[in-house]
Amino acid sequence: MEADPKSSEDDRQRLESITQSYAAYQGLGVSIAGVLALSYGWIRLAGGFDEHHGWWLLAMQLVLWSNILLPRLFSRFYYRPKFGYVKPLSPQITDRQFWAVSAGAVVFGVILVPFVILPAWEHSDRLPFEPFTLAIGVALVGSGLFNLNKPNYKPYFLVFGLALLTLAFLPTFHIQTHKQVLSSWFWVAVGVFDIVFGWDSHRTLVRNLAISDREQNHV
Amino acid sequence: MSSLPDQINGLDRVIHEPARLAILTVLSACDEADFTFLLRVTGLTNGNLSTHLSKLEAARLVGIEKKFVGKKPQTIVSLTDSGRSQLEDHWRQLKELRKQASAVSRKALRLTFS
Repeated sequence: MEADPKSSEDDRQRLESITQSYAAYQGLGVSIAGVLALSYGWIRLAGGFDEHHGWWLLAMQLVLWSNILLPRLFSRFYYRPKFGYVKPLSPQITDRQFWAVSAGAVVFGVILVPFVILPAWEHSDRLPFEPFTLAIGVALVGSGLFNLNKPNYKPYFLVFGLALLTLAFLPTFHIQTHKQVLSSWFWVAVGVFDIVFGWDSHRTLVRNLAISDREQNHV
Repeated sequence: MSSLPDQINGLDRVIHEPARLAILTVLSACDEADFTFLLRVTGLTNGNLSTHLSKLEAARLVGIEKKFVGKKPQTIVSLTDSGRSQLEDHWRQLKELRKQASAVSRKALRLTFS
Protein backbone atom coordinates (compact mmCIF):
# COMPACT_ATOMS: atom_id res chain seq x y z
CA MET A 1 0.00 0.00 0.00
CA GLU A 2 1.32 3.44 -0.90
CA ALA A 3 0.27 6.78 0.50
CA ASP A 4 -0.10 8.64 -2.79
CA PRO A 5 -2.28 11.72 -2.19
CA LYS A 6 -3.78 11.72 -5.69
CA SER A 7 -4.81 8.06 -5.77
CA SER A 8 -6.00 8.34 -2.20
CA GLU A 9 -8.24 11.26 -3.13
CA ASP A 10 -9.67 9.11 -5.96
CA ASP A 11 -10.10 6.22 -3.51
CA ARG A 12 -11.85 8.49 -1.06
CA GLN A 13 -14.27 9.71 -3.74
CA ARG A 14 -14.91 6.11 -4.86
CA LEU A 15 -15.55 5.04 -1.27
CA GLU A 16 -17.79 8.02 -0.64
CA SER A 17 -19.83 7.16 -3.71
CA ILE A 18 -20.08 3.50 -2.59
CA THR A 19 -21.12 4.36 0.98
CA GLN A 20 -23.60 6.96 -0.28
CA SER A 21 -25.36 4.45 -2.51
CA TYR A 22 -24.60 1.39 -0.38
CA ALA A 23 -28.28 0.39 -0.10
CA ALA A 24 -28.88 0.87 -3.83
CA TYR A 25 -25.95 -1.37 -4.71
CA GLN A 26 -27.45 -4.29 -2.76
CA GLY A 27 -29.13 -5.58 -5.87
CA LEU A 28 -29.74 -9.32 -5.43
CA GLY A 29 -33.22 -8.68 -3.94
CA VAL A 30 -34.11 -6.57 -6.99
CA SER A 31 -32.90 -9.37 -9.27
CA ILE A 32 -35.11 -11.93 -7.49
CA ALA A 33 -38.06 -9.51 -7.73
CA GLY A 34 -37.19 -9.28 -11.43
CA VAL A 35 -37.38 -13.07 -11.76
CA LEU A 36 -40.88 -12.94 -10.19
CA ALA A 37 -41.95 -10.14 -12.58
CA LEU A 38 -40.55 -12.05 -15.55
CA SER A 39 -42.30 -15.26 -14.45
CA TYR A 40 -45.56 -13.36 -13.99
CA GLY A 41 -45.25 -11.90 -17.50
CA TRP A 42 -44.52 -15.31 -19.04
CA ILE A 43 -47.39 -16.98 -17.18
CA ARG A 44 -49.77 -14.27 -18.40
CA LEU A 45 -48.40 -14.73 -21.92
CA ALA A 46 -49.04 -18.47 -21.68
CA GLY A 47 -52.61 -17.80 -20.62
CA GLY A 48 -52.18 -18.42 -16.90
CA PHE A 49 -53.64 -16.17 -14.17
CA ASP A 50 -56.78 -15.71 -16.21
CA GLU A 51 -58.45 -12.39 -15.51
CA HIS A 52 -61.76 -14.14 -14.82
CA HIS A 53 -60.36 -15.89 -11.76
CA GLY A 54 -58.88 -12.92 -9.96
CA TRP A 55 -55.55 -14.64 -9.18
CA TRP A 56 -53.73 -12.27 -11.52
CA LEU A 57 -54.40 -9.29 -9.26
CA LEU A 58 -53.01 -11.11 -6.22
CA ALA A 59 -49.97 -12.26 -8.22
CA MET A 60 -49.38 -8.73 -9.49
CA GLN A 61 -49.56 -7.36 -5.95
CA LEU A 62 -47.03 -10.01 -4.91
CA VAL A 63 -44.67 -8.90 -7.70
CA LEU A 64 -45.09 -5.22 -6.75
CA TRP A 65 -44.47 -5.91 -3.05
CA SER A 66 -41.49 -8.11 -3.77
CA ASN A 67 -39.80 -5.05 -5.29
CA ILE A 68 -40.05 -3.28 -1.94
CA LEU A 69 -39.60 -6.12 0.53
CA LEU A 70 -36.97 -8.36 -1.10
CA PRO A 71 -34.24 -5.69 -1.21
CA ARG A 72 -34.86 -5.01 2.52
CA LEU A 73 -34.72 -8.72 3.39
CA PHE A 74 -31.55 -9.25 1.35
CA SER A 75 -29.99 -6.20 2.95
CA ARG A 76 -30.63 -7.55 6.44
CA PHE A 77 -29.94 -11.25 6.01
CA TYR A 78 -27.34 -11.33 3.24
CA TYR A 79 -25.52 -8.04 2.67
CA ARG A 80 -25.13 -6.92 6.28
CA PRO A 81 -23.54 -10.16 7.55
CA LYS A 82 -21.39 -10.57 4.42
CA PHE A 83 -20.34 -7.02 3.53
CA GLY A 84 -20.95 -5.21 6.77
CA TYR A 85 -22.71 -2.02 7.69
CA VAL A 86 -21.82 1.53 6.75
CA LYS A 87 -23.63 4.76 7.43
CA PRO A 88 -23.02 7.31 4.66
CA LEU A 89 -22.11 10.93 5.38
CA SER A 90 -25.36 12.01 3.77
CA PRO A 91 -27.78 9.12 3.11
CA GLN A 92 -29.70 9.20 -0.16
CA ILE A 93 -32.85 7.69 1.36
CA THR A 94 -33.61 7.92 5.07
CA ASP A 95 -35.69 5.31 6.90
CA ARG A 96 -38.52 7.81 7.22
CA GLN A 97 -38.54 8.39 3.45
CA PHE A 98 -38.50 4.62 2.86
CA TRP A 99 -41.58 4.07 5.03
CA ALA A 100 -43.34 7.07 3.45
CA VAL A 101 -42.76 5.54 0.00
CA SER A 102 -43.94 2.14 1.31
CA ALA A 103 -47.12 3.68 2.72
CA GLY A 104 -47.66 5.35 -0.64
CA ALA A 105 -47.19 1.97 -2.33
CA VAL A 106 -49.85 0.42 -0.06
CA VAL A 107 -52.34 3.14 -0.95
CA PHE A 108 -51.41 2.74 -4.63
CA GLY A 109 -51.55 -1.06 -4.63
CA VAL A 110 -54.57 -1.70 -2.41
CA ILE A 111 -56.85 1.23 -3.17
CA LEU A 112 -55.82 3.08 -6.32
CA VAL A 113 -54.98 0.11 -8.59
CA PRO A 114 -58.19 -1.97 -8.26
CA PHE A 115 -60.67 0.85 -7.72
CA VAL A 116 -59.33 3.80 -9.72
CA ILE A 117 -56.58 2.91 -12.17
CA LEU A 118 -57.88 -0.43 -13.49
CA PRO A 119 -61.37 0.95 -14.28
CA ALA A 120 -59.67 3.91 -16.01
CA TRP A 121 -57.54 1.48 -18.07
CA GLU A 122 -60.71 -0.12 -19.35
CA HIS A 123 -60.98 3.00 -21.51
CA SER A 124 -57.30 3.28 -22.39
CA ASP A 125 -58.01 1.32 -25.60
CA ARG A 126 -59.05 4.63 -27.13
CA LEU A 127 -55.44 5.84 -26.98
CA PRO A 128 -53.14 4.81 -29.86
CA PHE A 129 -50.48 3.64 -27.36
CA GLU A 130 -50.31 1.88 -23.99
CA PRO A 131 -49.89 4.82 -21.56
CA PHE A 132 -48.32 3.08 -18.53
CA THR A 133 -45.65 1.28 -20.57
CA LEU A 134 -44.98 4.54 -22.40
CA ALA A 135 -44.54 6.44 -19.10
CA ILE A 136 -42.03 3.92 -17.69
CA GLY A 137 -40.24 3.79 -21.06
CA VAL A 138 -39.92 7.59 -21.17
CA ALA A 139 -38.61 7.58 -17.56
CA LEU A 140 -35.93 4.99 -18.39
CA VAL A 141 -34.89 6.71 -21.63
CA GLY A 142 -34.78 10.05 -19.79
CA SER A 143 -32.62 8.57 -17.05
CA GLY A 144 -30.38 6.92 -19.65
CA LEU A 145 -29.90 10.18 -21.58
CA PHE A 146 -29.39 12.23 -18.40
CA ASN A 147 -26.52 10.00 -17.30
CA LEU A 148 -25.01 9.65 -20.77
CA ASN A 149 -21.70 11.40 -20.02
CA LYS A 150 -21.43 10.38 -16.38
CA PRO A 151 -18.81 7.85 -15.24
CA ASN A 152 -21.45 5.50 -13.81
CA TYR A 153 -23.43 5.47 -17.07
CA LYS A 154 -25.54 2.34 -17.50
CA PRO A 155 -26.38 1.71 -21.17
CA TYR A 156 -29.16 -0.75 -20.34
CA PHE A 157 -31.38 2.08 -19.05
CA LEU A 158 -31.57 3.42 -22.59
CA VAL A 159 -31.93 -0.08 -24.11
CA PHE A 160 -34.81 -1.12 -21.84
CA GLY A 161 -36.40 2.33 -22.12
CA LEU A 162 -36.43 2.03 -25.92
CA ALA A 163 -37.75 -1.54 -25.64
CA LEU A 164 -40.65 -0.33 -23.46
CA LEU A 165 -41.37 2.55 -25.86
CA THR A 166 -41.53 0.02 -28.70
CA LEU A 167 -43.89 -2.16 -26.66
CA ALA A 168 -46.05 0.86 -25.85
CA PHE A 169 -46.64 1.48 -29.55
CA LEU A 170 -47.46 -2.13 -30.51
CA PRO A 171 -51.23 -1.38 -30.22
CA THR A 172 -50.80 1.50 -32.71
CA PHE A 173 -49.86 -1.03 -35.39
CA HIS A 174 -52.40 -3.62 -34.16
CA ILE A 175 -49.62 -6.10 -33.35
CA GLN A 176 -50.79 -6.48 -29.74
CA THR A 177 -53.74 -5.08 -27.82
CA HIS A 178 -53.32 -2.65 -24.92
CA LYS A 179 -54.14 -5.40 -22.45
CA GLN A 180 -51.72 -7.88 -23.97
CA VAL A 181 -48.90 -5.36 -23.70
CA LEU A 182 -49.65 -4.29 -20.16
CA SER A 183 -50.49 -7.67 -18.68
CA SER A 184 -47.58 -9.65 -20.10
CA TRP A 185 -44.86 -8.03 -22.25
CA PHE A 186 -44.54 -5.07 -19.90
CA TRP A 187 -43.76 -7.43 -16.98
CA VAL A 188 -41.35 -9.45 -19.09
CA ALA A 189 -39.40 -6.28 -19.98
CA VAL A 190 -39.49 -4.89 -16.43
CA GLY A 191 -38.49 -8.30 -15.04
CA VAL A 192 -35.45 -8.57 -17.32
CA PHE A 193 -34.53 -4.95 -16.51
CA ASP A 194 -34.73 -5.67 -12.75
CA ILE A 195 -32.56 -8.77 -13.15
CA VAL A 196 -29.91 -6.87 -15.13
CA PHE A 197 -30.03 -3.78 -12.89
CA GLY A 198 -29.91 -5.82 -9.66
CA TRP A 199 -27.08 -8.01 -10.85
CA ASP A 200 -25.06 -5.06 -12.15
CA SER A 201 -25.49 -3.20 -8.83
CA HIS A 202 -24.47 -6.30 -6.89
CA ARG A 203 -21.41 -6.77 -9.12
CA THR A 204 -20.38 -3.14 -8.57
CA LEU A 205 -20.62 -3.58 -4.81
CA VAL A 206 -18.67 -6.84 -4.83
CA ARG A 207 -16.00 -5.38 -7.11
CA ASN A 208 -15.49 -2.43 -4.80
CA LEU A 209 -15.70 -4.18 -1.47
CA ALA A 210 -14.39 -7.69 -1.99
CA ILE A 211 -10.74 -6.63 -1.80
CA SER A 212 -10.20 -9.16 0.96
CA ASP A 213 -11.06 -11.99 -1.45
CA ARG A 214 -8.34 -10.86 -3.87
CA GLU A 215 -5.54 -9.91 -1.53
CA GLN A 216 -5.00 -9.94 2.17
CA ASN A 217 -2.75 -7.20 3.46
CA HIS A 218 -0.67 -8.59 6.27
CA VAL A 219 0.69 -5.37 7.70
CA MET B 1 11.45 26.30 6.56
CA SER B 2 12.55 22.74 7.44
CA SER B 3 14.17 20.46 4.84
CA LEU B 4 12.31 17.76 2.92
CA PRO B 5 13.73 14.81 4.93
CA ASP B 6 12.90 16.63 8.18
CA GLN B 7 9.35 17.18 7.01
CA ILE B 8 9.03 13.50 6.05
CA ASN B 9 10.37 12.46 9.44
CA GLY B 10 7.92 14.86 11.04
CA LEU B 11 4.87 13.06 9.67
CA ASP B 12 2.55 11.59 12.29
CA ARG B 13 3.49 7.90 12.26
CA VAL B 14 0.26 6.80 13.89
CA ILE B 15 -1.63 8.13 10.88
CA HIS B 16 1.01 7.56 8.19
CA GLU B 17 1.31 3.79 8.68
CA PRO B 18 -0.30 2.40 5.44
CA ALA B 19 -2.93 0.13 6.99
CA ARG B 20 -4.02 2.77 9.49
CA LEU B 21 -4.10 5.41 6.76
CA ALA B 22 -6.34 3.10 4.72
CA ILE B 23 -8.69 2.61 7.69
CA LEU B 24 -8.84 6.35 8.35
CA THR B 25 -9.45 7.11 4.67
CA VAL B 26 -12.36 4.66 4.59
CA LEU B 27 -13.80 6.18 7.75
CA SER B 28 -13.39 9.70 6.38
CA ALA B 29 -15.70 8.73 3.49
CA CYS B 30 -18.56 7.72 5.78
CA ASP B 31 -20.22 8.60 9.06
CA GLU B 32 -19.55 5.21 10.67
CA ALA B 33 -18.81 1.65 9.58
CA ASP B 34 -18.68 -1.74 11.22
CA PHE B 35 -15.76 -4.14 11.54
CA THR B 36 -16.92 -6.36 8.65
CA PHE B 37 -17.14 -3.43 6.25
CA LEU B 38 -13.64 -2.26 7.19
CA LEU B 39 -12.33 -5.81 6.73
CA ARG B 40 -13.86 -5.92 3.26
CA VAL B 41 -12.58 -2.55 2.09
CA THR B 42 -9.08 -2.59 3.55
CA GLY B 43 -8.34 -6.26 2.92
CA LEU B 44 -6.70 -6.58 6.33
CA THR B 45 -6.97 -9.74 8.41
CA ASN B 46 -9.14 -9.82 11.56
CA GLY B 47 -6.14 -9.62 13.86
CA ASN B 48 -4.42 -6.81 11.97
CA LEU B 49 -7.55 -4.70 11.75
CA SER B 50 -8.25 -5.22 15.43
CA THR B 51 -4.69 -4.20 16.41
CA HIS B 52 -4.69 -1.10 14.22
CA LEU B 53 -8.11 -0.04 15.48
CA SER B 54 -6.87 -0.31 19.07
CA LYS B 55 -3.89 1.93 18.22
CA LEU B 56 -6.14 4.45 16.49
CA GLU B 57 -8.52 4.43 19.43
CA ALA B 58 -5.64 4.93 21.87
CA ALA B 59 -4.56 7.96 19.81
CA ARG B 60 -8.19 9.22 20.00
CA LEU B 61 -8.42 9.29 16.21
CA VAL B 62 -11.40 6.89 16.12
CA GLY B 63 -14.23 6.03 18.44
CA ILE B 64 -15.27 2.39 18.88
CA GLU B 65 -18.69 1.31 20.06
CA LYS B 66 -19.45 -2.34 20.76
CA LYS B 67 -23.07 -3.43 20.76
CA PHE B 68 -25.33 -6.40 20.00
CA VAL B 69 -27.66 -6.67 17.02
CA GLY B 70 -29.94 -9.50 18.09
CA LYS B 71 -27.47 -12.02 19.49
CA LYS B 72 -24.59 -10.99 17.29
CA PRO B 73 -21.89 -8.61 18.50
CA GLN B 74 -21.22 -5.59 16.33
CA THR B 75 -18.27 -3.20 16.44
CA ILE B 76 -19.04 0.24 15.08
CA VAL B 77 -16.11 2.51 14.28
CA SER B 78 -16.19 6.21 13.45
CA LEU B 79 -13.67 9.03 13.09
CA THR B 80 -13.54 11.47 15.98
CA ASP B 81 -13.66 15.18 15.17
CA SER B 82 -9.98 15.51 15.95
CA GLY B 83 -9.26 12.38 13.88
CA ARG B 84 -11.02 13.91 10.88
CA SER B 85 -9.10 17.19 11.13
CA GLN B 86 -5.77 15.41 11.76
CA LEU B 87 -6.34 13.23 8.69
CA GLU B 88 -7.12 16.31 6.57
CA ASP B 89 -3.91 17.93 7.85
CA HIS B 90 -1.98 14.77 7.07
CA TRP B 91 -3.18 14.67 3.46
CA ARG B 92 -2.40 18.39 3.13
CA GLN B 93 1.14 17.72 4.37
CA LEU B 94 1.56 14.82 1.93
CA LYS B 95 0.37 16.94 -1.00
CA GLU B 96 2.82 19.68 -0.01
CA LEU B 97 5.66 17.14 0.28
CA ARG B 98 4.81 15.71 -3.11
CA LYS B 99 4.95 19.17 -4.65
CA GLN B 100 8.32 19.89 -3.03
CA ALA B 101 9.73 16.47 -3.98
CA SER B 102 8.73 17.05 -7.63
CA ALA B 103 10.45 20.44 -7.59
CA VAL B 104 13.62 18.90 -6.12
CA SER B 105 13.72 16.12 -8.71
CA ARG B 106 13.15 18.62 -11.57
CA LYS B 107 16.04 20.71 -10.23
CA ALA B 108 18.26 17.60 -10.02
CA LEU B 109 17.40 16.68 -13.60
CA ARG B 110 18.28 20.18 -14.83
CA LEU B 111 21.65 19.98 -13.03
CA THR B 112 22.36 16.55 -14.53
CA PHE B 113 21.76 17.64 -18.13
CA SER B 114 23.23 21.14 -17.92
